[in-house]
Amino acid sequence: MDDRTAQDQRVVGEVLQGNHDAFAQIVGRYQKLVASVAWRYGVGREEMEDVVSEVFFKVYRNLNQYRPDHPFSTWLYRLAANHVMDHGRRKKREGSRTELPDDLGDPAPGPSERAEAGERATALRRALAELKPRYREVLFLVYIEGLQVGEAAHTLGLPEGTIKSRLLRGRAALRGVLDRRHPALFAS
Amino acid sequence: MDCRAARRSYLEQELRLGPPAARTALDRHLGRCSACRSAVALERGLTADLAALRVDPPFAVDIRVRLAAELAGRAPGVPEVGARELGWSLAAAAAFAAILVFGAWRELPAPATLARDCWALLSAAASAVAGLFAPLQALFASGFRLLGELAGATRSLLGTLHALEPAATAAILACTAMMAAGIGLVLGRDLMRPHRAEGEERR
Repeated sequence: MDDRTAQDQRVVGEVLQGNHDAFAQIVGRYQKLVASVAWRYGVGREEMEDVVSEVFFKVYRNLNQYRPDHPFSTWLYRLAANHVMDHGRRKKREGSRTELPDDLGDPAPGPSERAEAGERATALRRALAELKPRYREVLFLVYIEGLQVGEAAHTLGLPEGTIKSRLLRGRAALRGVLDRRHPALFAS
Repeated sequence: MDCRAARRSYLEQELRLGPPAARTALDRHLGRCSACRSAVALERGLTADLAALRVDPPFAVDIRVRLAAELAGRAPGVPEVGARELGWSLAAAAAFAAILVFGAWRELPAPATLARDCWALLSAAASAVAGLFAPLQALFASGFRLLGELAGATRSLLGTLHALEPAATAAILACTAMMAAGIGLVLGRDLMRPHRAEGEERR
Protein backbone atom coordinates (compact mmCIF):
# COMPACT_ATOMS: atom_id res chain seq x y z
CA MET A 1 0.00 0.00 0.00
CA ASP A 2 1.50 3.35 -1.04
CA ASP A 3 1.61 6.49 1.11
CA ARG A 4 -1.26 8.16 -0.65
CA THR A 5 -3.57 5.17 -0.27
CA ALA A 6 -2.68 4.81 3.39
CA GLN A 7 -3.24 8.52 3.95
CA ASP A 8 -6.61 8.38 2.17
CA GLN A 9 -7.72 5.50 4.34
CA ARG A 10 -6.66 7.32 7.48
CA VAL A 11 -8.61 10.43 6.44
CA VAL A 12 -11.71 8.37 5.55
CA GLY A 13 -11.51 6.77 8.99
CA GLU A 14 -11.31 10.20 10.62
CA VAL A 15 -14.37 11.44 8.70
CA LEU A 16 -16.34 8.35 9.69
CA GLN A 17 -15.39 8.92 13.32
CA GLY A 18 -16.95 12.37 13.21
CA ASN A 19 -14.12 14.66 12.10
CA HIS A 20 -16.06 16.45 9.37
CA ASP A 21 -13.22 18.85 8.59
CA ALA A 22 -11.12 15.93 7.36
CA PHE A 23 -13.52 15.56 4.45
CA ALA A 24 -12.21 18.88 3.07
CA GLN A 25 -8.86 17.13 2.59
CA ILE A 26 -10.50 14.47 0.43
CA VAL A 27 -12.32 17.13 -1.59
CA GLY A 28 -9.17 19.20 -2.05
CA ARG A 29 -7.22 16.20 -3.22
CA TYR A 30 -9.74 14.78 -5.66
CA GLN A 31 -11.96 17.59 -6.96
CA LYS A 32 -9.71 18.08 -10.00
CA LEU A 33 -10.00 14.40 -10.89
CA VAL A 34 -13.79 14.50 -10.61
CA ALA A 35 -13.98 17.72 -12.65
CA SER A 36 -11.82 16.14 -15.37
CA VAL A 37 -14.05 13.07 -15.61
CA ALA A 38 -17.13 15.29 -15.78
CA TRP A 39 -15.56 17.60 -18.38
CA ARG A 40 -14.56 14.74 -20.67
CA TYR A 41 -18.03 13.28 -20.46
CA GLY A 42 -19.60 16.54 -21.57
CA VAL A 43 -20.49 18.41 -18.39
CA GLY A 44 -20.22 22.11 -19.29
CA ARG A 45 -18.55 24.86 -17.32
CA GLU A 46 -21.87 26.30 -16.12
CA GLU A 47 -22.96 23.10 -14.36
CA MET A 48 -19.53 21.81 -13.39
CA GLU A 49 -19.63 22.97 -9.76
CA ASP A 50 -23.08 21.45 -9.27
CA VAL A 51 -22.02 18.08 -10.67
CA VAL A 52 -18.73 17.95 -8.74
CA SER A 53 -20.56 18.91 -5.53
CA GLU A 54 -23.15 16.20 -6.14
CA VAL A 55 -20.39 13.63 -6.55
CA PHE A 56 -18.74 14.58 -3.25
CA PHE A 57 -22.11 14.76 -1.56
CA LYS A 58 -22.68 11.18 -2.68
CA VAL A 59 -19.18 10.21 -1.52
CA TYR A 60 -19.89 11.67 1.91
CA ARG A 61 -23.21 9.89 2.27
CA ASN A 62 -21.84 6.55 1.10
CA LEU A 63 -18.46 6.73 2.80
CA ASN A 64 -19.25 3.77 5.05
CA GLN A 65 -19.58 1.59 1.96
CA TYR A 66 -15.96 2.15 0.99
CA ARG A 67 -13.90 -1.00 1.60
CA PRO A 68 -10.19 -0.41 2.19
CA ASP A 69 -9.12 -3.45 0.14
CA HIS A 70 -9.12 -1.13 -2.92
CA PRO A 71 -7.55 2.33 -3.20
CA PHE A 72 -9.92 5.13 -2.27
CA SER A 73 -9.21 6.87 -5.60
CA THR A 74 -10.55 3.84 -7.53
CA TRP A 75 -13.75 3.81 -5.51
CA LEU A 76 -14.17 7.55 -5.93
CA TYR A 77 -13.47 7.34 -9.67
CA ARG A 78 -16.17 4.70 -10.12
CA LEU A 79 -18.65 6.76 -8.19
CA ALA A 80 -17.79 9.91 -10.16
CA ALA A 81 -17.93 8.15 -13.55
CA ASN A 82 -21.30 6.59 -12.73
CA HIS A 83 -22.63 9.91 -11.51
CA VAL A 84 -21.61 11.87 -14.59
CA MET A 85 -23.00 9.16 -16.86
CA ASP A 86 -26.30 9.22 -14.93
CA HIS A 87 -26.26 12.98 -15.27
CA GLY A 88 -25.79 12.62 -19.05
CA ARG A 89 -28.69 10.14 -19.30
CA ARG A 90 -30.91 12.40 -17.21
CA LYS A 91 -30.11 15.37 -19.41
CA LYS A 92 -30.83 13.35 -22.51
CA ARG A 93 -34.21 12.29 -21.10
CA GLU A 94 -34.97 15.92 -20.33
CA GLY A 95 -34.32 16.78 -23.96
CA SER A 96 -30.92 18.42 -23.94
CA ARG A 97 -28.26 16.46 -25.78
CA THR A 98 -25.08 15.45 -24.06
CA GLU A 99 -22.28 17.11 -25.93
CA LEU A 100 -18.67 17.35 -25.04
CA PRO A 101 -17.59 20.98 -24.64
CA ASP A 102 -16.39 22.75 -27.77
CA ASP A 103 -13.04 23.87 -26.43
CA LEU A 104 -12.03 20.33 -25.61
CA GLY A 105 -9.26 18.82 -27.68
CA ASP A 106 -5.56 18.42 -27.95
CA PRO A 107 -3.88 21.50 -29.42
CA ALA A 108 -1.70 20.64 -32.41
CA PRO A 109 1.59 22.42 -33.15
CA GLY A 110 0.78 24.60 -36.16
CA PRO A 111 -2.32 26.71 -36.89
CA SER A 112 -3.56 24.49 -39.75
CA GLU A 113 -2.92 21.27 -37.82
CA ARG A 114 -4.59 22.83 -34.80
CA ALA A 115 -7.60 23.78 -36.89
CA GLU A 116 -7.86 20.28 -38.32
CA ALA A 117 -7.42 18.63 -34.93
CA GLY A 118 -10.08 20.92 -33.53
CA GLU A 119 -12.42 20.08 -36.37
CA ARG A 120 -11.88 16.34 -35.91
CA ALA A 121 -12.36 16.63 -32.16
CA THR A 122 -15.62 18.54 -32.60
CA ALA A 123 -16.89 16.02 -35.15
CA LEU A 124 -15.94 13.16 -32.88
CA ARG A 125 -17.67 14.71 -29.88
CA ARG A 126 -20.84 15.18 -31.90
CA ALA A 127 -20.69 11.63 -33.21
CA LEU A 128 -20.23 10.28 -29.67
CA ALA A 129 -23.24 12.28 -28.54
CA GLU A 130 -25.34 10.52 -31.17
CA LEU A 131 -24.54 7.04 -29.90
CA LYS A 132 -26.74 5.09 -27.54
CA PRO A 133 -25.67 5.72 -23.93
CA ARG A 134 -24.65 2.08 -23.41
CA TYR A 135 -22.09 2.39 -26.22
CA ARG A 136 -20.99 5.91 -25.38
CA GLU A 137 -20.29 4.93 -21.76
CA VAL A 138 -17.94 2.09 -22.56
CA LEU A 139 -16.15 4.02 -25.32
CA PHE A 140 -15.72 6.90 -22.88
CA LEU A 141 -14.32 4.73 -20.10
CA VAL A 142 -11.98 2.65 -22.26
CA TYR A 143 -10.81 4.92 -25.09
CA ILE A 144 -11.03 8.36 -23.48
CA GLU A 145 -10.45 7.59 -19.80
CA GLY A 146 -7.99 4.85 -20.64
CA LEU A 147 -9.44 2.15 -18.37
CA GLN A 148 -8.76 -1.53 -19.03
CA VAL A 149 -11.77 -3.63 -20.05
CA GLY A 150 -11.82 -5.27 -16.61
CA GLU A 151 -11.77 -1.90 -14.86
CA ALA A 152 -14.62 -0.62 -17.05
CA ALA A 153 -16.59 -3.78 -16.23
CA HIS A 154 -15.99 -3.16 -12.52
CA THR A 155 -16.99 0.51 -12.85
CA LEU A 156 -20.24 -0.22 -14.65
CA GLY A 157 -21.01 -3.41 -12.73
CA LEU A 158 -21.22 -5.47 -15.94
CA PRO A 159 -19.51 -8.66 -17.11
CA GLU A 160 -16.32 -8.21 -19.15
CA GLY A 161 -17.94 -9.99 -22.10
CA THR A 162 -20.70 -7.38 -22.19
CA ILE A 163 -18.15 -4.55 -22.13
CA LYS A 164 -16.20 -6.19 -24.92
CA SER A 165 -19.23 -6.64 -27.16
CA ARG A 166 -20.42 -3.09 -26.44
CA LEU A 167 -16.97 -1.75 -27.30
CA LEU A 168 -16.91 -3.54 -30.63
CA ARG A 169 -20.48 -2.54 -31.49
CA GLY A 170 -19.89 0.99 -30.18
CA ARG A 171 -16.81 1.36 -32.38
CA ALA A 172 -18.78 0.15 -35.38
CA ALA A 173 -21.63 2.55 -34.57
CA LEU A 174 -19.19 5.43 -34.12
CA ARG A 175 -17.47 4.60 -37.38
CA GLY A 176 -20.90 4.52 -39.06
CA VAL A 177 -21.82 7.99 -37.76
CA LEU A 178 -18.43 9.43 -38.76
CA ASP A 179 -18.61 7.93 -42.27
CA ARG A 180 -22.12 9.29 -42.72
CA ARG A 181 -21.57 12.77 -41.35
CA HIS A 182 -17.88 13.48 -41.91
CA PRO A 183 -16.64 11.21 -44.68
CA ALA A 184 -13.85 13.61 -45.65
CA LEU A 185 -12.48 14.10 -42.14
CA PHE A 186 -12.27 10.50 -41.06
CA ALA A 187 -11.65 8.65 -44.32
CA SER A 188 -8.21 7.66 -45.48
CA MET B 1 -8.65 -15.37 -41.26
CA ASP B 2 -11.12 -13.36 -43.40
CA CYS B 3 -11.31 -9.55 -43.56
CA ARG B 4 -14.19 -9.28 -41.09
CA ALA B 5 -12.39 -11.44 -38.52
CA ALA B 6 -9.16 -9.53 -39.12
CA ARG B 7 -10.73 -6.14 -38.36
CA ARG B 8 -12.40 -7.50 -35.26
CA SER B 9 -9.16 -9.12 -34.21
CA TYR B 10 -7.33 -5.80 -34.60
CA LEU B 11 -9.74 -4.07 -32.20
CA GLU B 12 -9.36 -6.95 -29.74
CA GLN B 13 -5.57 -6.77 -29.97
CA GLU B 14 -5.73 -3.04 -29.38
CA LEU B 15 -7.66 -3.72 -26.16
CA ARG B 16 -5.22 -6.53 -25.28
CA LEU B 17 -8.10 -8.99 -25.34
CA GLY B 18 -7.26 -11.56 -27.97
CA PRO B 19 -4.86 -14.49 -27.55
CA PRO B 20 -1.23 -13.81 -28.65
CA ALA B 21 -1.59 -16.38 -31.45
CA ALA B 22 -4.28 -14.18 -33.04
CA ARG B 23 -1.68 -11.43 -33.44
CA THR B 24 0.37 -13.62 -35.76
CA ALA B 25 -2.69 -14.54 -37.82
CA LEU B 26 -3.66 -10.87 -38.02
CA ASP B 27 -0.17 -9.80 -39.14
CA ARG B 28 -0.20 -12.52 -41.79
CA HIS B 29 -3.58 -11.31 -43.07
CA LEU B 30 -2.52 -7.66 -43.07
CA GLY B 31 0.59 -8.59 -45.01
CA ARG B 32 -1.49 -9.69 -47.98
CA CYS B 33 -4.68 -7.54 -47.71
CA SER B 34 -4.33 -3.85 -48.53
CA ALA B 35 -8.02 -3.12 -47.79
CA CYS B 36 -7.58 -4.35 -44.21
CA ARG B 37 -4.33 -2.41 -43.86
CA SER B 38 -6.25 0.77 -44.73
CA ALA B 39 -9.11 -0.13 -42.41
CA VAL B 40 -6.69 -0.81 -39.55
CA ALA B 41 -4.94 2.52 -40.18
CA LEU B 42 -8.32 4.25 -39.93
CA GLU B 43 -9.15 2.46 -36.68
CA ARG B 44 -5.74 3.35 -35.27
CA GLY B 45 -6.41 7.01 -36.13
CA LEU B 46 -9.82 6.87 -34.48
CA THR B 47 -8.32 5.45 -31.29
CA ALA B 48 -5.78 8.27 -31.26
CA ASP B 49 -8.54 10.84 -31.85
CA LEU B 50 -10.55 9.42 -28.94
CA ALA B 51 -7.50 9.44 -26.67
CA ALA B 52 -6.91 13.08 -27.61
CA LEU B 53 -10.23 13.92 -25.97
CA ARG B 54 -8.67 13.04 -22.64
CA VAL B 55 -8.00 16.57 -21.48
CA ASP B 56 -8.55 18.45 -18.25
CA PRO B 57 -10.98 21.35 -18.03
CA PRO B 58 -9.36 24.71 -18.86
CA PHE B 59 -10.59 26.22 -15.58
CA ALA B 60 -10.21 25.45 -11.89
CA VAL B 61 -12.98 24.07 -9.73
CA ASP B 62 -13.01 24.54 -5.97
CA ILE B 63 -16.14 23.44 -4.16
CA ARG B 64 -14.71 23.12 -0.64
CA VAL B 65 -16.52 26.15 0.86
CA ARG B 66 -19.79 25.38 -0.87
CA LEU B 67 -19.67 21.71 0.08
CA ALA B 68 -18.80 22.45 3.71
CA ALA B 69 -21.97 24.58 3.93
CA GLU B 70 -24.07 21.85 2.27
CA LEU B 71 -22.72 19.13 4.53
CA ALA B 72 -23.00 21.07 7.77
CA GLY B 73 -24.95 19.06 10.32
CA ARG B 74 -25.03 15.90 8.22
CA ALA B 75 -23.47 12.66 9.37
CA PRO B 76 -21.21 10.78 6.93
CA GLY B 77 -22.22 7.34 5.71
CA VAL B 78 -25.96 7.95 5.88
CA PRO B 79 -27.43 7.55 2.41
CA GLU B 80 -30.51 9.61 1.69
CA VAL B 81 -33.58 8.00 0.23
CA GLY B 82 -33.93 9.20 -3.35
CA ALA B 83 -37.17 10.67 -4.69
CA ARG B 84 -37.64 7.66 -6.98
CA GLU B 85 -37.19 5.08 -4.21
CA LEU B 86 -39.51 7.11 -1.98
CA GLY B 87 -42.11 7.26 -4.77
CA TRP B 88 -42.03 3.50 -5.32
CA SER B 89 -42.23 2.79 -1.60
CA LEU B 90 -45.22 5.10 -1.21
CA ALA B 91 -46.95 3.55 -4.24
CA ALA B 92 -46.40 0.02 -2.85
CA ALA B 93 -47.68 1.10 0.57
CA ALA B 94 -50.74 2.73 -1.02
CA ALA B 95 -51.51 -0.39 -3.06
CA PHE B 96 -51.20 -2.57 0.04
CA ALA B 97 -53.41 -0.21 2.05
CA ALA B 98 -56.01 -0.25 -0.74
CA ILE B 99 -56.11 -4.07 -0.67
CA LEU B 100 -56.55 -4.02 3.10
CA VAL B 101 -59.32 -1.42 2.90
CA PHE B 102 -61.15 -3.40 0.21
CA GLY B 103 -60.83 -6.55 2.28
CA ALA B 104 -62.21 -4.83 5.36
CA TRP B 105 -64.93 -3.11 3.39
CA ARG B 106 -66.28 -6.45 2.20
CA GLU B 107 -67.17 -7.31 5.78
CA LEU B 108 -69.23 -4.14 6.31
CA PRO B 109 -72.98 -4.08 5.56
CA ALA B 110 -73.76 -2.64 2.12
CA PRO B 111 -75.05 0.97 2.13
CA ALA B 112 -78.61 1.06 0.92
CA THR B 113 -78.77 4.13 -1.25
CA LEU B 114 -76.30 6.26 -3.23
CA ALA B 115 -73.23 4.10 -3.56
CA ARG B 116 -74.96 0.82 -4.34
CA ASP B 117 -73.39 0.41 -7.77
CA CYS B 118 -70.07 1.59 -6.51
CA TRP B 119 -70.33 -0.84 -3.64
CA ALA B 120 -71.07 -3.74 -5.96
CA LEU B 121 -68.00 -2.88 -8.02
CA LEU B 122 -65.73 -2.58 -5.02
CA SER B 123 -67.22 -5.73 -3.54
CA ALA B 124 -66.44 -7.64 -6.72
CA ALA B 125 -62.88 -6.28 -6.69
CA ALA B 126 -62.47 -7.24 -3.04
CA SER B 127 -63.81 -10.75 -3.73
CA ALA B 128 -61.34 -11.08 -6.57
CA VAL B 129 -58.46 -10.04 -4.28
CA ALA B 130 -59.70 -12.38 -1.54
CA GLY B 131 -59.93 -15.12 -4.18
CA LEU B 132 -56.24 -14.62 -4.92
CA PHE B 133 -55.39 -15.38 -1.31
CA ALA B 134 -57.78 -18.37 -0.95
CA PRO B 135 -55.32 -21.01 -2.26
CA LEU B 136 -52.68 -19.69 0.13
CA GLN B 137 -55.11 -19.97 3.02
CA ALA B 138 -56.02 -23.54 2.01
CA LEU B 139 -52.34 -24.43 1.79
CA PHE B 140 -51.68 -23.16 5.31
CA ALA B 141 -54.75 -25.01 6.63
CA SER B 142 -53.55 -28.28 5.05
CA GLY B 143 -50.10 -27.73 6.46
CA PHE B 144 -51.40 -27.23 9.97
CA ARG B 145 -53.65 -30.29 9.67
CA LEU B 146 -50.70 -32.41 8.53
CA LEU B 147 -48.57 -31.15 11.41
CA GLY B 148 -51.37 -32.06 13.86
CA GLU B 149 -51.62 -35.57 12.42
CA LEU B 150 -47.86 -36.03 12.59
CA ALA B 151 -47.85 -34.92 16.22
CA GLY B 152 -50.64 -37.41 17.01
CA ALA B 153 -48.79 -40.26 15.28
CA THR B 154 -45.56 -39.42 17.10
CA ARG B 155 -47.37 -39.36 20.43
CA SER B 156 -48.95 -42.78 19.80
CA LEU B 157 -45.60 -44.23 18.64
CA LEU B 158 -43.88 -42.96 21.78
CA GLY B 159 -46.68 -44.50 23.87
CA THR B 160 -46.18 -47.86 22.18
CA LEU B 161 -42.41 -47.73 22.63
CA HIS B 162 -42.86 -46.86 26.27
CA ALA B 163 -45.06 -49.94 26.77
CA LEU B 164 -42.48 -52.30 25.22
CA GLU B 165 -39.51 -53.94 26.91
CA PRO B 166 -36.27 -51.85 26.76
CA ALA B 167 -34.56 -54.50 24.58
CA ALA B 168 -37.37 -54.41 21.99
CA THR B 169 -37.28 -50.57 21.98
CA ALA B 170 -33.52 -50.59 21.33
CA ALA B 171 -33.96 -53.08 18.47
CA ILE B 172 -36.67 -50.94 16.84
CA LEU B 173 -34.54 -47.80 17.17
CA ALA B 174 -31.50 -49.58 15.68
CA CYS B 175 -33.57 -50.81 12.73
CA THR B 176 -34.92 -47.28 12.16
CA ALA B 177 -31.40 -45.82 12.26
CA MET B 178 -30.17 -48.40 9.74
CA MET B 179 -33.09 -47.67 7.41
CA ALA B 180 -32.41 -43.94 7.64
CA ALA B 181 -28.73 -44.49 6.89
CA GLY B 182 -29.62 -46.68 3.89
CA ILE B 183 -32.01 -44.04 2.50
CA GLY B 184 -29.34 -41.37 3.07
CA LEU B 185 -26.75 -43.39 1.14
CA VAL B 186 -29.08 -44.00 -1.82
CA LEU B 187 -30.11 -40.35 -2.00
CA GLY B 188 -26.51 -39.16 -1.64
CA ARG B 189 -25.35 -41.42 -4.44
CA ASP B 190 -28.15 -40.17 -6.73
CA LEU B 191 -27.34 -36.58 -5.95
CA MET B 192 -23.65 -37.05 -6.69
CA ARG B 193 -24.24 -38.84 -9.99
CA PRO B 194 -24.84 -35.74 -12.25
CA HIS B 195 -21.68 -34.05 -10.94
CA ARG B 196 -19.64 -37.11 -11.59
CA ALA B 197 -21.10 -37.41 -15.08
CA GLU B 198 -20.23 -33.74 -15.80
CA GLY B 199 -16.71 -34.29 -14.54
CA GLU B 200 -16.30 -37.34 -16.74
CA GLU B 201 -17.68 -35.45 -19.76
CA ARG B 202 -15.23 -32.62 -19.17
CA ARG B 203 -12.38 -35.07 -19.05
